[in-house]
Amino acid sequence: MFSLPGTRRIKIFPGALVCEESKLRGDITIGTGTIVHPSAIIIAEAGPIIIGDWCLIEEQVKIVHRLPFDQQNNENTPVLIIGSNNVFEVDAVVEAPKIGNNNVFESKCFVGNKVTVSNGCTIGAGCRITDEQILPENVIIFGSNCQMREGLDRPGPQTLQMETLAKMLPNYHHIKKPNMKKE
Amino acid sequence: MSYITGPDVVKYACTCGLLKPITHLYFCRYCTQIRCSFCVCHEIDSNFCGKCSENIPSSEAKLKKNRCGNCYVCPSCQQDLSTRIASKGSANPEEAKSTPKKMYYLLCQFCRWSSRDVGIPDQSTELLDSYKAIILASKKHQQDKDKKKRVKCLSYTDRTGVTTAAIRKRLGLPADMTNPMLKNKPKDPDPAKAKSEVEELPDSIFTEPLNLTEVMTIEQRLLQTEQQPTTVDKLFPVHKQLSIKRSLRCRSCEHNVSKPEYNPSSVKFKIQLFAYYIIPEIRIVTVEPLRAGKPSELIIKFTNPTQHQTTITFFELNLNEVDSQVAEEVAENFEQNLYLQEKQQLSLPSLGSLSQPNSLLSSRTPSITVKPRPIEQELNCKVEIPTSSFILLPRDDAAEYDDSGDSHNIQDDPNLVKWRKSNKAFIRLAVTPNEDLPLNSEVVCGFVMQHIYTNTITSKVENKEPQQYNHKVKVFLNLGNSVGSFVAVVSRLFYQNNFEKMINLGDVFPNFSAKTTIGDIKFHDWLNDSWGILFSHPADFTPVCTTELARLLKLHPEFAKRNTKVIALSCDPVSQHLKWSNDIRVYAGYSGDAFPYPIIADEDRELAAELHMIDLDEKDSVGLPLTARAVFIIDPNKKLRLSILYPATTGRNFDCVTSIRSPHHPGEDVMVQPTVSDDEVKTLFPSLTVVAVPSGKNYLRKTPQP
Ligand SMILES: [Zn+2]
Ligand SMILES: [Zn+2]
Ligand SMILES: [Zn+2]
Ligand SMILES: [Zn+2]
Repeated sequence: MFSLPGTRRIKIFPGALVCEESKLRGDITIGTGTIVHPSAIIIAEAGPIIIGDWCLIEEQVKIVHRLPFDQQNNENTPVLIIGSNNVFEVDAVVEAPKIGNNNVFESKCFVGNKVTVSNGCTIGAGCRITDEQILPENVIIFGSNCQMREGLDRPGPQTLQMETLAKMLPNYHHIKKPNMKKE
Repeated sequence: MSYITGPDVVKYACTCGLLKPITHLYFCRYCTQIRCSFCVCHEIDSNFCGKCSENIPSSEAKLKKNRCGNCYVCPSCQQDLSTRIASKGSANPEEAKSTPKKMYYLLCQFCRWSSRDVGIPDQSTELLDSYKAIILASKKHQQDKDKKKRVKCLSYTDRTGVTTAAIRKRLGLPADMTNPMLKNKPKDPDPAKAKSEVEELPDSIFTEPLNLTEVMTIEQRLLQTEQQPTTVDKLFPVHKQLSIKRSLRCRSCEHNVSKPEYNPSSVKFKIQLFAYYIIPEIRIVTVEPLRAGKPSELIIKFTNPTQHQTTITFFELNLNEVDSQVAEEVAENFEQNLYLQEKQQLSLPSLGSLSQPNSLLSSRTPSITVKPRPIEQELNCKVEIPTSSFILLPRDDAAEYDDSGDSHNIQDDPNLVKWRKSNKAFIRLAVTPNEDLPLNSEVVCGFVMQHIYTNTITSKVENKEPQQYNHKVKVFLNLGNSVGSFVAVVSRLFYQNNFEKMINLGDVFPNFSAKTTIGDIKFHDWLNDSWGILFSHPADFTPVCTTELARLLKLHPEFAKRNTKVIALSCDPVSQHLKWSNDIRVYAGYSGDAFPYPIIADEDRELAAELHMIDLDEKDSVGLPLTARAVFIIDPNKKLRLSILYPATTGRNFDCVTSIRSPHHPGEDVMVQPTVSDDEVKTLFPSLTVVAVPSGKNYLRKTPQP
């Protein structure tokens, strides 16, 4: 079921943990140390997706690279670049056209395809952001009204969690073999 | 809760005359009367902190201004703050070997505000320890002092417990007496005067751009009442406000109707006499369009919440009669009050002493019975009171999962009881709005419901048979607005049992929960971020529905490709759906293992009513209305994008021969309606084929297109 024609275009760098049960479609590059849980969905529909190093993509997360409705021509395909140290928590749906480093997308949040995410942003659990905007650095969005505040610093990296997952996941899931060499 | 029990269209009259939905009422089993929050005593049982779950005595709570001394809330988002430990190496590099100091700061897990944001330095335990030592020392000092005091001078108050103020009161002197020794009285401050001149706004307010992230919200400002700062750099943690546990006491018999468990971490109750657990619940299922002076059929559902069988009898609700009753009760109350007053007067001198009995009495104020008032609700619709009563079976939680069919053997009046299952019964009533009722006015009808209340508590204590009482409740039903004859025709299709508007395109689709062939679902969760198609069909095991669903089965991969989830709905139970879905699979020639989309079982018609797709023209074998054929398309933002509603009769309301539904593709075989008998079929359609399906029912009969 998962051996779709696009599968071959998936590039995984050594050190990345991509579970076999994740759904990856289209041209996707996954950087060193990034963990992709089973049943995470990454769809490169409008163009390639490049995910940086040490990102954590949890279950039921959906990262979709979708063209905005007003420019449906597939001629010049933009690349969705997701920086490093980003955390996508369970059931987050992210369609942003550009994502920087050290961002946290909390559970069940939704980021529309007109929102550009810079660095160190936190999108709170259940927050839906759809209006066209560029999120400034270290911004924190929280609460049912998507209240916004400026944070003191970037959210801390989930090093401990990532280390544990790197040990645990291969014991219970099939891992896709890295097919790229270290740069 | 508001979703499950709302909207409040059925109201019960409290003993005090207020009308409330059943979920807001209590039932005092000592008085066997309904009580509402207005006619019970509210008493604070205990104060506690919701974060550290610590009980705080009321005197201490008062001192601490009803806030917890240890817990803080986030000044930014009002959630609880948690204490974080940050280890810090010694500042002196020479002492690098020494263990790193533990430093504490506060962090909000929700909006990531921390005490560092406003420059509060991290705190070490050293300071805390030293403060603790100081507190301990001062306490000890105080204790020593108290001991000495007690030995040295014994005041009159200490010995008798009577204060000087009490004595003064007793002697008839003014309670508040200024000490003649105290000559320099504090000067009263000058009262504030209103000014007509107001300071001008600074220029910067007009010129500088506003940065919303730096400005506090009103909620944040009001949290810090003392300062009320305006910018976010002055957000300081606030002590958490205490929560209370509250018990409710019946005013006339002084028994509790609700008492929570004392332990703050428990959410249980010691006493919970909620009417919802004792009095049968009434819900409106459907009502025919209401026209002035014309009778309409009203179907209501009764649910017995108790473990005891009850019998429901209807009586006419006469508001004038109620008034006279009220007058009687008022008189009774007046006598009671007199009696109470007498008792007090008698008891006072006998107890004799000074402030002690007074304080005793004041701590337990003789409860004031609320005088019942006449019910302020006009009835503009007559209910034909049924002469027969019906039985409501006890609640049996296990019956929910029992699909073996109804084993009850009750002789029901078929004109009254439409349908019953376990502790539920659907009752048909005839209602007639008043002749002179203007168009589009709210129609309210009412009746008195008598049910049997079984008091189990006394029987447990005295080992007797449970006592049974006939309890009468006045029930008011808001049936919606009256319609004219033209509107009636239109609204007949989508008439609904509540008064929320129809869901409009662009509205958020209700997040209902339902029983389906894939278990219980919550609609929005099930939908996740896909598009959704919800469609309903009148009944399982009918040919048109089978073809429709089979078609959908074939189309399902196409929907899946377009990120669209499909769900079906009808009023049949899950077990029927499962059997039927097998038929559909065979009919469609579907090769997959599992049926790819779920089917909702809406036996109670609640969902159908909520979505306004009840079709009053289509009824099942017992006369309950069925769902119309409806299609709803919901976008990933859970908004309704398309709704089509058409009666089940469309295209089929012809005679037998023409009652052939045109197929989805010309040239394909067509279905023959089940209303055409087998013999007729043979003569009409000689080339008929009957499609064999697992259930063995020959309802799928095909013939080449004429
Ligand atoms: Zn009341
Ligand atoms: Zn506390
Ligand atoms: Zn906060
Ligand atoms: Zn009582």
